[in-house]
Amino acid sequence: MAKVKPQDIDCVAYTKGPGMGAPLVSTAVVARTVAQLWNKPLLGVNHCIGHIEMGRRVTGAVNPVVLYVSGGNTQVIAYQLKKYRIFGETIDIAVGNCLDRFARVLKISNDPSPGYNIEQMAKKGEKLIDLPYGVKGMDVSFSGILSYIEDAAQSLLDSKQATPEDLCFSLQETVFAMLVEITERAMAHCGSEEVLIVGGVGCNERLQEMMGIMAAERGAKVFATDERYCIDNGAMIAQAGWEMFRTGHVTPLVDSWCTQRFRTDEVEVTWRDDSGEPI
Amino acid sequence: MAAKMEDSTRGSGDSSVTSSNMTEIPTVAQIIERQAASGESSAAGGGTGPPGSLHHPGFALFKQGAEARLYRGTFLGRPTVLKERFSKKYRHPRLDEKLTTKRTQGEARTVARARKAGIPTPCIYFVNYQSNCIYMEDLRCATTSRDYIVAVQSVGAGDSFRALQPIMDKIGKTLATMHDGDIIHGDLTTSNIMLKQDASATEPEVVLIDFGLSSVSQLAEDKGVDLYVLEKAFLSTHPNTETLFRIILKSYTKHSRKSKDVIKKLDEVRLRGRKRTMVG
Amino acid sequence: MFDMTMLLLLLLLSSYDYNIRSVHTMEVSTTLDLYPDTTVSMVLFSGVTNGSEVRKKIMDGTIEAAVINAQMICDPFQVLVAVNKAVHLDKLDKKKTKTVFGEILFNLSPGNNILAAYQKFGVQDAERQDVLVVLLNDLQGQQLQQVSNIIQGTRIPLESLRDIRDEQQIIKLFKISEAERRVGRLEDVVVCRMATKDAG
Repeated sequence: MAKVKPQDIDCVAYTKGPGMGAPLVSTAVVARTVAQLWNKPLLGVNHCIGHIEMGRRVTGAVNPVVLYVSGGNTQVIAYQLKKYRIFGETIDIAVGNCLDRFARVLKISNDPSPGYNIEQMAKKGEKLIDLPYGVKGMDVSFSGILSYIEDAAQSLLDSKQATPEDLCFSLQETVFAMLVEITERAMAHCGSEEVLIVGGVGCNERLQEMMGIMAAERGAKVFATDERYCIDNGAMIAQAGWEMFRTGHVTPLVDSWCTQRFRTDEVEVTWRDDSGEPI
Repeated sequence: MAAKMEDSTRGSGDSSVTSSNMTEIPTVAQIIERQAASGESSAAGGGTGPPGSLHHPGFALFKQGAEARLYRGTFLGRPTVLKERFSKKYRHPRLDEKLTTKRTQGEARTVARARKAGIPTPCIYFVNYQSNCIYMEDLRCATTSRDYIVAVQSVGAGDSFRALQPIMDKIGKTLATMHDGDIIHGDLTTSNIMLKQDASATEPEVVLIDFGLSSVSQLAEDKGVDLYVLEKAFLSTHPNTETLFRIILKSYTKHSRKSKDVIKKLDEVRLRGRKRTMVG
Repeated sequence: MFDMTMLLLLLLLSSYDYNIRSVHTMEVSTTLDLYPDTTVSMVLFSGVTNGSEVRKKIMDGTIEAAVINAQMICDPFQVLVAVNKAVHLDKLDKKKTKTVFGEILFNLSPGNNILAAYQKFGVQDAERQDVLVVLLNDLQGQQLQQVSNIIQGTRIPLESLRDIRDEQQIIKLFKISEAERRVGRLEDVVVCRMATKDAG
């Protein structure tokens, strides 16, 4: 335990959304309870902003273009005029969802996570299978790739045209190339020289490597966190909550609800100035 | 030079006509002229870069994009822009080659298709599939709609909407023609929508460029996504221009034969973004 | 007559230049930007009466030139675009036809049928016709002399192409719609079609 007493605490931050309903509700109830018990202000935090602020905190990135990739999200975000604006995103399913569903097709184990196992198998893959490539402007689409590989996987394996490792390798190479491409487009668009990868899929070392090559080619820096901070964690909600609290945010008790739908660009970023510097 | 002088005469003529209500709001012709004079045009038509590229003698680099370099020079006696797609090292070499070739070829094919449908695009002079280079017409007297919108907005807050309206109308009409020809641009931004006005022209003309991500499709879904891509690029490049973008859609709806289904799909795609639960 | 030709050739050779010489010259020469070692010369003949003989001499290799039906040419630029592509594909050994001159005719045409390209853009059967002769690397003028000896017609300035071109026939062959016609000058419309015809 952190050996923190209630009097050491300034405020109570909780995840307002987005996320799954049940965990959101139970957390909100606990947060409300302890806030009232200890008489501390409440702060409803956007989950995605938690990732961004924790990533900035841990890596020291100042004003990066953020690639947020997880089971439920695929977004390219950049700070502009008091908002984390979404420059690119998936127009159908999230990249992590695509990987998870593909893992089910190949009956890849969930232990410790399908994405981790795909990554390990992909390291042994050699052959690149042609897959659809879904970049539309700064947006991406994964559903076409998923349905293509769902249809083709069995026959490719049966005819020995590809091994399961080849399929993992091909899928990673294709979807990560798409992600790096839209990230680079956003960087060009915003004139940014930093890129930060957050979210569960951001742990993938091949994705980090590809992003690193792209960044090096344009004289930019890539920032990535390890699995402690890439995947969801409580500290990131505290970090974002602190930024909000120190710049005057408070969530009144009546507004301390939670929501499964909560866009990154709905939050007023009060803790950064117009040029992105901290206030 | 002669063209420039004619431009400036017409430019000042324009402003004298409208000086009573919109003194400072520049016309497209004035923006083009201003950029040509300062030599810092973002459009293909302004200044020149350092002379002589190693791989392309006689051509000077003027823009380095994420996946292509643009050079300016002379080809068979014509002012020419050379667009060279280069390899991206982060991609698997086979995927990289496939994408680079596909996009070079796709751009050439769609430019031809667009022109057949009556959409002005720069004329292609030569395609080198070996080096993924496209040699095309250097648009003279042109600016990006991005630069134009920014310039107009920077001077007149109240009147800028009214000043930009005719151009937005034209853009909507051009996009309608494009989609009616089953052409999906794939990367619509205000930088890829050019405004061209030759010395002899009385009003600007919309010219579409950058067809590298284009495709051919009859599906309302694909057209809806195409508009969605533009909407996002438009609103993120030009904050608080929702009403301006609405003119484009209104004009699109008016001019496209199949606009009803496309706009319905656009609404759907927008909602998909808003509705997605985005679980951690 | 022979002396006159030689004199004219000498005059032309003396002012060989990397730029197109276009003001009232009978022969226009230029080098290709991408292949500076290749010189292209264009000569326009009017009222040619021995079309079938010329064709024979092309077939048997006596004439080493592209002899083009001048009615189908909007502008010399169109020819240069076809030549550039022919030389490019020749260097890569990717020609669709046997000779670089055949390739020039093929590149001028809208389709992928070689025979149709020759029929439309090559020498015609007509009793009188205007032809544009394209020579490559004829630095000493020997090929031009050979061609001039065979072709029975009058040399006229290249600028006359404008008056010779048959817009209706060109529009018909390339199936250029009203909408496409409005996109730009006729030569640009045609050139863009030529340059993109193998884009699939």
